[in-house]
Amino acid sequence: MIEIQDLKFTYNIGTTAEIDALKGVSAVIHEGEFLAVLGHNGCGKSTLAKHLNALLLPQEGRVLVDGMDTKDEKQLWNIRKKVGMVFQNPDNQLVATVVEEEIAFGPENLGLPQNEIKSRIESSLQSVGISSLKYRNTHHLSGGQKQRLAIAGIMAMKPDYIVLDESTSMLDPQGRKDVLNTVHKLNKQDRITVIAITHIMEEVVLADRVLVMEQGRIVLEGTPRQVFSQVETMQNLRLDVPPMTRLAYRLRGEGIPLPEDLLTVDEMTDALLQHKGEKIGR
Amino acid sequence: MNNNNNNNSSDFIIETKNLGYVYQPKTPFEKVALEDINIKIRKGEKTGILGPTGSGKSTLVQLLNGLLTPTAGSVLIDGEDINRPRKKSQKKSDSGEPVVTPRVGLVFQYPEYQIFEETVFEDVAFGPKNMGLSPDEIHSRVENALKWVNMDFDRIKDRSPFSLSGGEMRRVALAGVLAMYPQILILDEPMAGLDPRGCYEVEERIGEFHSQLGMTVIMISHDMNRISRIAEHLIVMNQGKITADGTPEQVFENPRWLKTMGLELPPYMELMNRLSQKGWKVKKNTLNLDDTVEELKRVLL
Repeated sequence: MIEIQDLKFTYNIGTTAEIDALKGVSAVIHEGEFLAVLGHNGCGKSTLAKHLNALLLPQEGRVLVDGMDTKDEKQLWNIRKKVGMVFQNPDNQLVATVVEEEIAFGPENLGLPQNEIKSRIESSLQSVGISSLKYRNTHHLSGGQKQRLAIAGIMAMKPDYIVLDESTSMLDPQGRKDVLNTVHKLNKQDRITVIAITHIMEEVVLADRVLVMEQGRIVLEGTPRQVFSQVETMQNLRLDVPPMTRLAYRLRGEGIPLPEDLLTVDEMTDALLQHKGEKIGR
Repeated sequence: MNNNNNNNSSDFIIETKNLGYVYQPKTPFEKVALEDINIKIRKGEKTGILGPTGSGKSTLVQLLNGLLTPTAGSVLIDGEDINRPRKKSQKKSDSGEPVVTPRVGLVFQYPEYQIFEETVFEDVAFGPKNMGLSPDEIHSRVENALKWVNMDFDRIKDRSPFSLSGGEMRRVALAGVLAMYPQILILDEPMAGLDPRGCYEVEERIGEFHSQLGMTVIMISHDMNRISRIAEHLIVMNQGKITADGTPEQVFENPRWLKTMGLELPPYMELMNRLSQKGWKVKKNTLNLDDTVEELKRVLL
């Protein structure tokens, strides 16, 4: 469990360029959940993400990772081992030239025995579905493959939490799908807690729970259905809702009764067919 | 499906004839990127080029602006083969250097990563300076270009581009290309990586300077939904070939083969196609929310 307690953070403190990035954020991230944090650039979501593994330390309030305070320097290694981060740009986070070396980097730094490193490389490659790329040059991978490699590198550290900081926003649709499927599988099968920081709807729809941030505060919280069904609030925040949710909202305004929380084309097709069936039946 | 075949060639600002490109030819790494590409793009038109990763979209636009030289066929801009230019008397700048006006401005993917100057002004001025323009002309172009991307010149000109938000940096990078006053603007994935607000800003800007300056705009994207809202002409590519060429309505008429290429229909069209399969008599090519609402109202109310 990660506990975030009344967290405040200001960049460039004491200068004219001061920016209040977090203005008092409290939240609990439960073990095994898939949490999405949604918001515009500048809403504070990346600042929040960087607090989860002590890349940033709270100026006010505190962050506890399985009970360990991120301000406690003695726990820094333990916290970083537990909470892995995947960043936005796939080209900025790879350090090695060969795929297997990239994955070995973390475990080698932990000083693990050779056999253990080898077995972690195999299992990490397998868990993100890139076993066939083991000996490939990292520069020759596609963006989606690079992000999955970054995740594999983190998996080799056996983390409990993975934080994805806009990790799919630079990928093409196929790359995004591959990464999301991988993350979903790690969450459901390996019980890794996933925190996805994002502005992309497809990522949010997969989550168990969503926090919506605006100007350094959490402004909405709930399941994806609960959050997206608040079409007006989301529009006022200038955030996207799925096209079918928006269409249902407009049609309800025209007097066609449709559920508020439908998300997909499948659900919309069924709802319309049912509506017409009822009308004919009457 | 080529709607351009019967037109007079002078209407077209861009035309390719049997264009082909092979990477590393005659080596073991030889790769055919483009084969027999024939496209025609009208002056002032907004064209979207769609296709999965590796389909040859980026190679095509690099051929259109002369970054790559064709290994087969030719690229005509205003009827002139850009790789065999006719000799022309060139305009001279104040210092006597020839002024070269780029006809095609290319905005790469993630153009903000190519920003390198210390101030926004210097960054936008880089292109015009290299064209050999006078300081007054450079100043007025930078001012105009920043205005076109909806940025306050006085507020922003002396700031470091690196202190700006992602959406703002992208607009500065765009201004850097616009300041060269190209006739044709090509944007490679202009919305990639931006949040919804940033996407909206860039989308709105593209619409504005297209209508204000009458610029021919070509956008590469794999976002069907967004591109079908902006473009009036779509070219779909797959494995180095053109697989469809026409209006969005024409291109989306047959969803099945789009899916075989890993491309998806825009969601509203997907819905209408499903309903039509269920026997509903609905228009299948509704591109946006408003059209879809109207069409569903028509059949339901």
